[in-house]
Amino acid sequence: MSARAPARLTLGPLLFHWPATTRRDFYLRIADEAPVHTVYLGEVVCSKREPGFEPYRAAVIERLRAAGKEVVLSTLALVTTAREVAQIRELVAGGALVEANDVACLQLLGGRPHVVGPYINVFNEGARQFVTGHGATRIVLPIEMPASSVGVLAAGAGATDIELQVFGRLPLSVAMRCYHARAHERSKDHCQLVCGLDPDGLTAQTVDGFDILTINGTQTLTHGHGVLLAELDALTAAGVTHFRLSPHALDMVAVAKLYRDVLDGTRDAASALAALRVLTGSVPFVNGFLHGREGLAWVGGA
Amino acid sequence: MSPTRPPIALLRGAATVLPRPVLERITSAVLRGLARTRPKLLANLAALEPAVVHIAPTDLPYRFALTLGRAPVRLAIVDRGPVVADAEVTASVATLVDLLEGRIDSDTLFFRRDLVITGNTAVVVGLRNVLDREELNLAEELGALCGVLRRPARATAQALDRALDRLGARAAAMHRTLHPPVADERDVGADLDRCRTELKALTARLAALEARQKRRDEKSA
Amino acid sequence: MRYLELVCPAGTPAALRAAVEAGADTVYCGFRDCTNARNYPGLNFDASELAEGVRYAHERGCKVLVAINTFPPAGKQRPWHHALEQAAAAGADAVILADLGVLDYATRHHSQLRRHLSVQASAANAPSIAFYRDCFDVRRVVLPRVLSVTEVAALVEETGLETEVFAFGSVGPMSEGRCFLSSYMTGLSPTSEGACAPASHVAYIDRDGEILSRLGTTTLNAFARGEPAAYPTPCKGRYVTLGRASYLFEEPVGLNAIAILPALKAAGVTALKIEGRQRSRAYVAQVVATFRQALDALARGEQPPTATLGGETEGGRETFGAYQKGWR
Repeated sequence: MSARAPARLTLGPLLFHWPATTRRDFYLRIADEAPVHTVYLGEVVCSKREPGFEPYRAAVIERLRAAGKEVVLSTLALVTTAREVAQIRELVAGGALVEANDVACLQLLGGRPHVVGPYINVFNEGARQFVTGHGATRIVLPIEMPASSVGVLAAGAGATDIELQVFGRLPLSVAMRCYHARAHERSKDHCQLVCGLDPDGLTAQTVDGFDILTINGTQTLTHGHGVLLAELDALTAAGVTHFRLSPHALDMVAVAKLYRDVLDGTRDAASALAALRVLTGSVPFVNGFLHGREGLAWVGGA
Repeated sequence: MSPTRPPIALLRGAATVLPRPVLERITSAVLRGLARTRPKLLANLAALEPAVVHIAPTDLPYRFALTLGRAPVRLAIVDRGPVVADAEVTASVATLVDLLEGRIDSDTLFFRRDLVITGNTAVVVGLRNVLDREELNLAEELGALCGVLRRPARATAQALDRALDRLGARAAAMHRTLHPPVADERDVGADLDRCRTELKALTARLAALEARQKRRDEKSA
Repeated sequence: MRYLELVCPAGTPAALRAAVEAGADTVYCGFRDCTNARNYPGLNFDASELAEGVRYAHERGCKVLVAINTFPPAGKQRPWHHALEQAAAAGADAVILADLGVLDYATRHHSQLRRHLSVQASAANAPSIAFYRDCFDVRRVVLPRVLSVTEVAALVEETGLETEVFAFGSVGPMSEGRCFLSSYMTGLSPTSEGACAPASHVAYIDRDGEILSRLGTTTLNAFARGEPAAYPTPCKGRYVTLGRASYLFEEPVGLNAIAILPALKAAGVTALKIEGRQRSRAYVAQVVATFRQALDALARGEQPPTATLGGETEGGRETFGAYQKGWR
């Protein structure tokens, strides 16, 4: 076996709608303090949110790059309007590394190197081979994937990076409808960006009172944080190269340090999990998908 | 679509009054007949997940227990009481016969809550799908039991059914006079709905046939 | 000239015959395994049933499409490749595909077999559709159920590809082929195992006159006896947000676009799709006949008769879904 590149931590795109200045300050701190190799930047969920952050975007990118971070520009997961297509076209034309989250982006990239995001289904070797043939240099695996599939895909990936989300609420679906607006009994056209009220999303409970889902505009996520800490060793051995932390309104620098320590072998998973519990409060952990179970399950001692 | 609807009132009447051993003989004869005429149906039933399904007609005093997922498939008559099956399907005799003969869609019944399923839903879905593959006609299957007497038997059955229906209607009318309409309304409404549905389906089918004929005529013209 | 092609579901050979008899122009079906998105027990076709179905349909001037529209898991692609071979051997008129790997394989190994893009690929914009057209020579795209009539018209104009849109059946509010809600609750994947809310994980529990529907360990809904019911899928459940229980994602309603067929025709749509391979042949016969009647009337320049299919729709109620303004 050839020498493997060191496992890399990445910070996935911010999925929630934070005030522009909060967002800017968050990334400036990440630039200065977080041990992440890559930062994904850009709106994935709703194009109506984008304009607010625009004035700060260039400065944030510059600061992240100056801090030695790789910056990847993420794109929308569900593209329907001509304006959204035009935005992606412009982004692609800029020449920066892009994360494609809708097949539209692949067409606009025209074979240039890019990252395939978790919203494009690459479930098998055939699909992997096809996207790498069309310029994908990194594939972020769908969140549903069991360890056996991760192993098969990563083992034959060759020079292609394989990334998997290991921290944060897992995105379960995207839609045209805005569920935040529906929850507030508003129409999508007059939503007034009500999703901005919930920096970590809005909890949806079952009718018998259990927290089950998180609503984030047009997106639905797990209620629990997806947490793969005890599994990091096995994933690294299987050939996963990049580990994604999904931003939440908590101390993400501390979260990144915990994961970095476990990857470096300077901290054991059990103590990292205990520390992570303190950082994440009462939100439960889930890891069922990787273990071939229902996604809401938690498999592990902690 | 089945051309003739079996005589429901007669079926229900016979199923209520016939002694248990006779009923048991009839059900096993029907099953044997099906094994002969529709081997694929029995093979498909035997290939399902192993399970016992109780079919509970709301207007009969007992249930049927269908054993699936093994050969031979068995159909027995069991008393009402606590359900010990993997799943139970509850509906009126008329609804169950309509389902069996593919005259009505079980999801439609489910959306309207005319069909109640408890227990392992997968077993019931499998059973429904396997039955729906066959164009079954209960009157034919029962009639087949009468061998050479098939045609007269069916005619007698239809006549009896009409008589029973009339009797039933008279009884219902009397019942309504004695008890102002509360309890019975739903049943009558459901019957009406069924008639409407059937009429609509027939009208639609006729129109489709006419349209097709017209297309053919145009083509050949 | 045909007004709009009527594409109808067949979960069984009996439903296929019912659809052809009721006036379908085209029937679509799938194999009895995980290669199609309606992988329910007792449903679908084996190779010989498909060959027989194709023969039956072709003799009556009707086409047959085969849905091979799930996403193979890593290391298990063989059943999908096998399904392509069997569809080609049976003489199917086209296959309906979603996975990039399966599309690529079909393009290379079955170039003569016409390819349609499944709704499971969720191609909701012109560049996506162009991508599938350019890479895999896809001839027709089944559009996601999330677009308005205006958006459909724009896509037809921009891509020049045949489009097929849903006219009747279940309404899924999520972008299809990438919704993991059901596997989040059951561990079984609709995307690769072909069953959303698999019946094996569904339970109805009677509790004090109320019925609870459950998927895995998650309670999806509580309804009174007699209250209209929807399929027990996570997106049709009732959830509590901000202290209020509601159908957060979608009401228990079914799509019926029969009243807007002229608008779909004007938008340049090629074909109408009736959803429901999981439904019985009684449903198929009734819905297909009703649409046949409407299309024939429109083709003659007449107003279609007003007919409702209220009883057949999910929850017993009808909607125009995303076609109408304000759905979002």
